[in-house]
Amino acid sequence: MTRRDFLKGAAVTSSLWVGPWARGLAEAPSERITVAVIGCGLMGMGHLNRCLGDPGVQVLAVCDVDRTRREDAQGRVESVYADKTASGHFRGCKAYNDYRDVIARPDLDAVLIATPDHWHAIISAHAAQSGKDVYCEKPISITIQEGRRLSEVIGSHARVFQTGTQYRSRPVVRRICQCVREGVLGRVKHVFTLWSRVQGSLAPVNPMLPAEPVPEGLDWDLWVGPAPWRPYNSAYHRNPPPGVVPWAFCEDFGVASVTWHHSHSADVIQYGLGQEKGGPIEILHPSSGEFPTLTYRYGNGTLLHLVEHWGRVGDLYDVLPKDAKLAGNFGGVFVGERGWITTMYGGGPIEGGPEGIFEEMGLKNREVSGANDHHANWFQCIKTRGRPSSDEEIGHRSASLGHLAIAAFKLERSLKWDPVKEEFLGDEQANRLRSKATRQPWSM
Amino acid sequence: MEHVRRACSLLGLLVAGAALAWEGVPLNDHERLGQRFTALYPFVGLTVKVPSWLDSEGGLTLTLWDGPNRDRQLAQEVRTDIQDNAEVLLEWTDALPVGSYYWEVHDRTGQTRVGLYGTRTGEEGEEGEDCAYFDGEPRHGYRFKFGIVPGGLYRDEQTRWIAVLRGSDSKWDREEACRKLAVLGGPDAVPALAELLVDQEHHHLARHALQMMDSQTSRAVLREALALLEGELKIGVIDSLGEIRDVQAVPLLRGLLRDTDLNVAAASAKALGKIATRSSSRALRRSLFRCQVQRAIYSGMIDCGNRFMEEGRWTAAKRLYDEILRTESPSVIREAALRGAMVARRDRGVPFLLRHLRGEDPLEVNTALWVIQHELPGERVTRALVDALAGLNQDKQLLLCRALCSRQDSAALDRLILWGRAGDKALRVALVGALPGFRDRSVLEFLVEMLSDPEEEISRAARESIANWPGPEADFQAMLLLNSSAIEDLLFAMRLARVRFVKEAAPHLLRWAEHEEELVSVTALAGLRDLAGPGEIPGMLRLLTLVNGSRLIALEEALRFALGRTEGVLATEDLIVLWSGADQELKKTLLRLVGVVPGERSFETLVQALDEENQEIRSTALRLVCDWKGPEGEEALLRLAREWEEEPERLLCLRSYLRRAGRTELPMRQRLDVCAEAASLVERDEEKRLLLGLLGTLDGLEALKLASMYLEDLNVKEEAKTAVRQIEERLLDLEAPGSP
Repeated sequence: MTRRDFLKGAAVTSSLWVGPWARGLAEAPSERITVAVIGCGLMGMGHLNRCLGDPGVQVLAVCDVDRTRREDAQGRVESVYADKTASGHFRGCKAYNDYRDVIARPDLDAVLIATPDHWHAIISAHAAQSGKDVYCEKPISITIQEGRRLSEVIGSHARVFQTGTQYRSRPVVRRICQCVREGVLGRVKHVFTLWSRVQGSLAPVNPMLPAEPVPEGLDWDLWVGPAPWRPYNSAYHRNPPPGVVPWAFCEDFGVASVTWHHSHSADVIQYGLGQEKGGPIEILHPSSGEFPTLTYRYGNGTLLHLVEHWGRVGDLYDVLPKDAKLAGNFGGVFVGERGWITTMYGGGPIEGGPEGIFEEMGLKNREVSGANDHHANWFQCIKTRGRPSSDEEIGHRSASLGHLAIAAFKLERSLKWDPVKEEFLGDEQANRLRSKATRQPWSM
Repeated sequence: MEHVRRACSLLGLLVAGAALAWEGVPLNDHERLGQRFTALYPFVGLTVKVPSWLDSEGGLTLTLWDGPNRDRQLAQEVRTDIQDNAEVLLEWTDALPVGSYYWEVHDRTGQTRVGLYGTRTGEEGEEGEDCAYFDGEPRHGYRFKFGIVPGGLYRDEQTRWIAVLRGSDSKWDREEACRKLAVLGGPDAVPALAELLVDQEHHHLARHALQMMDSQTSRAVLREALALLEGELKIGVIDSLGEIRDVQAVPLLRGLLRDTDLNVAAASAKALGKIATRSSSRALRRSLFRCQVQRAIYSGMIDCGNRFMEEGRWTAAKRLYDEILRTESPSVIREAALRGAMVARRDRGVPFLLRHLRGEDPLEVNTALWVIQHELPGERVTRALVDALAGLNQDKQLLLCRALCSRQDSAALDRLILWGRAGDKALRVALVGALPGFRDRSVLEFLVEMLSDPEEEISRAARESIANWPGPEADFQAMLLLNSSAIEDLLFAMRLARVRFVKEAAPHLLRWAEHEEELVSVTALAGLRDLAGPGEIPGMLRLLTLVNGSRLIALEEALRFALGRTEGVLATEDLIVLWSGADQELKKTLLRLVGVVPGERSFETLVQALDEENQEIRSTALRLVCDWKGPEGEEALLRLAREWEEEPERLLCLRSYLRRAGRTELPMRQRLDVCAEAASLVERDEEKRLLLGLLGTLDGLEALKLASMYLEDLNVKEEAKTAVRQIEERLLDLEAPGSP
């Protein structure tokens, strides 16, 4: 098939794919999108499996500073692809320790990044500067400054970037957010979402953990990378993984609540409010006395309240029916003039009222299933060079919402925020919290 | 030379100011300039950054007042010979409390222009809100750049952390001191932090803290450190100078482009790109083919161009990108430069963009597509792109149309719809799929029109697009089509109404349920399954005597769901009325429907049907009685289990009765009573095992006693032991100390 034939045939159900020629190869062996997965922990393996199951994608490489993990990932790739070959063998996936070797490959179209948070922005930026499209786990930054910088780099290099906030791509959640945005609830007055403590603190912490022997095969220096140096401790990283994101409690590697769930919730909420590329104008700390929990105020008056568990909504705010169950996470509760509705996952069916709201939103199904088209959307945009559903600016703003809360918690006061200039008004200390130290030689 | 320096200073001023969209506002044009502000914490100082058009010549006075009315002066500072971008600091001893204040600059001295940095806030604001003041008049939506120095506790904190930094032996404590000073450190902290720039372990934290302070002093310290450091530490300082866009560092960084340490050279190139002044840009361009770090210089140029564009310096950006495009650069650089060149040309760049879209180079095509979908907003560009469609070949028309749909500018809509009607098939199919992104009524009308397109692929695509239409407008279209005489449209409309949950369609579906075409009738009934409400049930009941075969099956299912949804108690009588004239099949259907309607009347009807002559009807009735969930069923099932003559049916009743003991929503007492009654009737091992399995889930001595009865029964001894053990374990839990 010539390229021209392909162009004609591909018009209906798939988009034009001109990628292989963009890499300057004389002739591409396949039309598939070639990817590498950087970060092969629990989340990374999830992304890897998604790619391995997609006939339109070819995994060429995996990367992890932990040899055990990268070899496991490599084995997985080879096993899956071997099943698809006549010979039953496959040796086409390379395993790397250093992401710089991955992004230097000219035969790669894109990377999926599932490293600890402190690496997200730098690797994404470097990948973009090397001509790769990027899918990056949330949050895409651990500071406002690096998120802004990343957004600039993605744009200046004409890359396609998808933030890993897949909850917005679940059909029921998407439908609800669109309806809220279009005013089915009337003006949204209150929104609620969860915020969790870490070791008793509302902001990520910085404990001094004792040094432990570095496990065999782990490049600890590269694991720490741009973060301030600290010695290895198994609380940050160990095999087998104790769960997802064990390092997130530490402010040098993650952002605690923002890492765990808030960036997902922020994305869904700002989508519903039509504020995906904006933000609040005030962050009201409880010490101000205006609200019992930290509250964002948006320019149109909408209030977004953070609560530590759903019971606090009824305890502290008298805006929902007493029998509202409220369960699940990765979303929020929208309360408007005409009704209310939830968007959480994992807490049972969507709740809301009055009953007519569901009809008005055309919601036949109130279960938030796991199915979503988030990766598919990214792959499609790679081909069409379009804008994915959770692009770099949206990802930056959803992460930033959490960073704003952390600043208020650290300073223990309310803050005024300019979402256009991305500055705190009249608060130099808060403005200094927009960035963090980066260990040389790493920079974006 | 002097005018060059002045121009550079002005340029630096404009760049520095414009870097954050700030503009220089000369005091020369006013008597006084001021800012009302709210201090959110106690403070002991105020800083104002002063642009000067000529270093060390101009001066002004900075005064702090209690408010714009200037009733009470709180502090004042007079400064002369101000350097460009100097920070004028006004300090006092006792911290002023949280509250609203007002500062002014006035009494300018010297010949040159000095002033403030100001910016628009993008909001109109209200009277009384913090804003800038020009000669005593508030200008809402505008503010001047300034900072306040935290006082009281914060000043003590700074002193403490400086002491830790200098005096502590603990690496951890010194790190913590750097982190704290990054947030609250001021000029006093600079010397202590500067000392750590040579410290491998603390360099990055100290550097970051100095970066955050961003004063003349801290910048000077960083610049001076360049000469003292090597390797990674030097690279770190270079990065910091780039981040803070230190214009005065440009000559130093220019010199480092040819450093023997290539990493240092590369870092310098990147920093020059971030600083993005005319001189830094010139340094990069001139070094491109004279240095070994060409890739880094290209990256710096890309960055520089981008910053030029952010500052509105389109011509300078375009020149830079075009220069890159004239060289043989790596493909990733070429792609970024091409993107920049397209964007820098703005509206006038459409011909340039189209030239690359028309080309055969995939990189150029991809970049053009990216720019169309991500950049160059505005109707003018959109219209120019749409105008260009006719001049493209079919392949490129397809690409551009899809990109225009993704761009979501409604200026393209009318023309795209025209192309959707008149383009080649592939293009039309693509547009039918992509145009719904516009969510415009005209698109929906177009899609409805395409439903009857002779090309099957197009009409199918139109159906899919309408079905997936995100807003309620498609519901309206569904309603319109429900009156169509064309079978195909009617079928589509009914399926659409069902998928989109258009309840208003239910009466229409009821009408079409009587259609002579079986497919239409069955499709309508399938829709009623999900959409029928109380208003449709009488009509659906009436249909029971009119339909048979597949229609009766579909009608029964539709009624079953509708009755379950509406809790149609009244429908029972309507069903009973139909009984007398019904044939066998209809009677079974009627029984199954009665079985869905809760209440005593429905249950009685089922029980009465047990006396029917027809065996099949009796079996149907018996199954429904056994499945009955309501409380009426319990007594009846027990009676049937005792009295029914035919053994298989009797056992069916017994088992159904027994299973009621497994319903956890019933009270424990009731469940035990069921087991006790059933125990007197159970004879076969199968029922004994069922009984024991249920007893094992119950609590109390009575359950234990019942289960124990079967311990001697050889055939079910094991099941009895299991049940007994389960009951005993729960009994022990209840008796244990601390148990609820």
